[in-house]
Amino acid sequence: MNLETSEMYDHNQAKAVVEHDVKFQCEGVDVYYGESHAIKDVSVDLLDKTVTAFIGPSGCGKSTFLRCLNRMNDTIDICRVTGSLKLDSEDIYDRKVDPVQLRARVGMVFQKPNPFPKSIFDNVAYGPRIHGLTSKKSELEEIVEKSLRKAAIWNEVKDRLHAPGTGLSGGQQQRLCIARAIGPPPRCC
Amino acid sequence: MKATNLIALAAAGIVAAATGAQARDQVAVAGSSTVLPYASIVAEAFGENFDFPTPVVESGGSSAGLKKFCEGVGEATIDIANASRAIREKEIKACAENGVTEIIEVRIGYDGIVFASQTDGPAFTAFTPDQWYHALAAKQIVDGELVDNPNMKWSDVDPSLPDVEIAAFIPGTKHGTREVFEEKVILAGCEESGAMAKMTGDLGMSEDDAEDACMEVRADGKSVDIDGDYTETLSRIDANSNGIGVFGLAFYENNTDKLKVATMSGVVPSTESISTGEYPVSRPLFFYVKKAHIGVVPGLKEFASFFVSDAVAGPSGPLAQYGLVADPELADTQAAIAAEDVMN
Amino acid sequence: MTDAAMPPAAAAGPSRKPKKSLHVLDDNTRRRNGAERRFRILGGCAVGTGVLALVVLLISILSAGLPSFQQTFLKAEIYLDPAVLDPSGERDPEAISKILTFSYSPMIKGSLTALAEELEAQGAENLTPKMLADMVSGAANAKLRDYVIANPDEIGKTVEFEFLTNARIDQYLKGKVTRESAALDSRVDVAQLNAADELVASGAMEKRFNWDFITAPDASENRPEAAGLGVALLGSLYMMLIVLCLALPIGVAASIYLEEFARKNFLTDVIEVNISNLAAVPSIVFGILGLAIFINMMHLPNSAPIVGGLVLTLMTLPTIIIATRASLKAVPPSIRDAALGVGASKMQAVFHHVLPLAAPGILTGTILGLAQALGETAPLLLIGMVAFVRDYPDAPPGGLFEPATGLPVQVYNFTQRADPAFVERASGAIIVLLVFLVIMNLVAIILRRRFERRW
Repeated sequence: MNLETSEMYDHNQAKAVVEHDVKFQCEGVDVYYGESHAIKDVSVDLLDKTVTAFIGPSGCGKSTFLRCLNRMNDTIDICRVTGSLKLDSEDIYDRKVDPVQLRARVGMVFQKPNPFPKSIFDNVAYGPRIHGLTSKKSELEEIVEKSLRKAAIWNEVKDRLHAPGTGLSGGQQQRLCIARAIGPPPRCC
Repeated sequence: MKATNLIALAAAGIVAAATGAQARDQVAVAGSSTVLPYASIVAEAFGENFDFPTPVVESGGSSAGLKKFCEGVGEATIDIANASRAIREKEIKACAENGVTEIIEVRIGYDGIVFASQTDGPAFTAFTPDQWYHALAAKQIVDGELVDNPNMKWSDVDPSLPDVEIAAFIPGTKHGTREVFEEKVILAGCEESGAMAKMTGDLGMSEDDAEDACMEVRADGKSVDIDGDYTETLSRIDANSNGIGVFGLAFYENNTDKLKVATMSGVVPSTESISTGEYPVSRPLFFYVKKAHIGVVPGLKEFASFFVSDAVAGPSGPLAQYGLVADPELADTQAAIAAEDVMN
Repeated sequence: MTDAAMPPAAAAGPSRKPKKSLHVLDDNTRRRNGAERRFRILGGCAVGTGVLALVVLLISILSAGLPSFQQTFLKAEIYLDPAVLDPSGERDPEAISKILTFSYSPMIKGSLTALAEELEAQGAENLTPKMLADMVSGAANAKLRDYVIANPDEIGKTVEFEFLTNARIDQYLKGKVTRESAALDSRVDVAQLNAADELVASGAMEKRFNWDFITAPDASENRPEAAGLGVALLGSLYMMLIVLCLALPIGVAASIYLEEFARKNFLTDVIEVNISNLAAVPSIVFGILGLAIFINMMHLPNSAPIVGGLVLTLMTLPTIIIATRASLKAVPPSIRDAALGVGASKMQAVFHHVLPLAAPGILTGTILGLAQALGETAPLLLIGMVAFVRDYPDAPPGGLFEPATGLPVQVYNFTQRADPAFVERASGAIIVLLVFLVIMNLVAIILRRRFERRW
């Protein structure tokens, strides 16, 4: 039930198409939840400007591994991560790295849609707001529209931006979450 | 988040204000619940007639009031303690230990203790201390032996009394009234009936032991201690037509439509019979003034002299109207306050 | 492993035809329906018992207390006698203020002599002027004196005043004092009741709504008719203010820290157990604590709302902390993940997303705590709030240090008094307390609705 590097990703095949820089370099990653050893020795390189998919049976640790990439596992007290994870050849588990700053660069959309119980606009605008990207309303509106367009939901919600995000259908909610994640433009993922 | 800030600011303000102490400008009184109505009547009139603020009167019992009074000198302590009994040696000592050395004792008048029952109840019209002793004492002398009180009905005590179960509601031990009841009724009855003489004589008890044995009240449910106020005694009597309760004269006078009073040794309790000393069960009421506070707490001396002035505590004043028996020696008390005479 | 054994039976199951029609209830369904019906009846009974208890309580309190909002007034013309009020004749304000309220009684009696004779002629037998004067409340003297000091020019004139009547007459008009009880009562005479009938008929005496019951301060035992709840209301209001300003921020901050930031370890477990225990500690214990710390150690004044407020704050804190932690726990963790995933800091996630979602629960908990504090008597007994206080405290912050009482202790106070007229006032005070509580709960509901609509 553990990730096996070879099953997940064919490094050579991707390389064959275009030559890309390595964005994430993971080596010998182990994750423990208390006593239970959830991920065993995973090493993988994730390339820039590529879509990488992890496939595996449920409970095999796909989400756990993803949560390592922006240190969401820090919020779980009993979770322990060892090994080396490098973003642009900087160790993200280094003492000097603040996870909040890291997460602003490494966005994340979760398995289950979890929009904020606020309006659609506020959902997407939240990231840019807290990162101080803009204070002007017009610029904010621009960012929101761009993010919603990229997540392919703009046409469905453009007339009801101030309706609650929780009122959308499941699929729409998940696309809203994608728009929210790319709102603060993350550099990765 | 504006509201949060506002609340935080207010909280900071309260804490800041709490650290700065404030000067007290009204007289603080505490003590006996028997004296409370009189003290509040005077406090009200004092506030109406003078430019000083109305004194604050707390109740809680004579002992509690004197304890607070003896906590020390200063604004956080009370100025006047009301008491339905005289201050005890022990309390004077406790006061002195805390720096309260100069105490002015003021006797405001007398309070009668009456025995009353439901207006429609059995004919409890006349009692003697002797009967009360035989009805309520824990031990009685029967055939030269000290045994548990065998009397279950009033008629067992005296055939002239109604043939009903004994059910007496007497003040609890925290009340000053209890002490007076024990001394002036139970102990007096014990002596009158000759039981006391038998205990010290035939049974060979020391005088103190005999007194204690006399005053011990039975605990088999025939006598019920009331720790609350007279209102509680009244509601117990309301619920039990055979019950008889111990009340202050003032309380009885406010409720004559519900209660009928019994004579004691043939004397009807009234302000007149108490002031002449004919009615046996009465006691003086006091308040104690902290001399160190005179001149510091505004209006303290004025309040004390107003309390015992003829217009207030005299026979036609509002206190007498409420039920206080005026002190015939009021003039001496007034002079003592004017001269700020302290106790020894 | 069991899979292997199942297939034959499972295959046979669906193919077998049902024996019974769907139109006929089988035993199992009937049993289950019966159980549900019985539970519904039981539930209805439970609700019914509660409602019945409430109705009985309300009826008894309302019937006993509503009359206290009405009071009997008597209109009378009083001759402001210069011989009594200003013997020197110089209208010197200082000399006039030296005349004490007691001197006004004979003047009132003198002014009512003519009226007494008139009433006696009309059928109130054996009515003396003193009896008529006694029908007027003791508070009348103070009212007259205040008027004379404010208007010294009126001395020597006859002025019409409206006085409260004494409690027995008032109780007679309310049906609590009857001729039978009056015959036994040393405080009232049947002649006075006859006079009251005449005065009501002539319109000089009437019973009407009395704001003073809500606004006036307490009165002494001689004049229950003048006693009001003003000081108690202010005292309760001040205490609630202090509790709100201290308990809400401290309680919410503590719960957020414990729930969101603190690591779960032995220490936080100990704290959690202790907070739950504190919530169950009898309130009198907080009174003892308050007496020891705030009065004996910090030397805060006796009988002051600040001490009451601080004690009630200590008492309310556990309630608020428990309610807040429960509502914080109820916020789904996915909201926290979402906020953190966008790059919010932990504090931003809590304050922007978790706290607003928990706000309705926090508010409900706070208001419940406040309501509990509002009705609390026991701790206030120990810090001197059960007192006779007649002066209104000033506006905060200064007034927080001045003596006041509180609504529940005022109820307690009234029940301790000898005059039966105070029974009615105690019930009246309970009604005011209940109205206070209903208002607070309404505010809670309105606030909750508002917060819920935000998203």
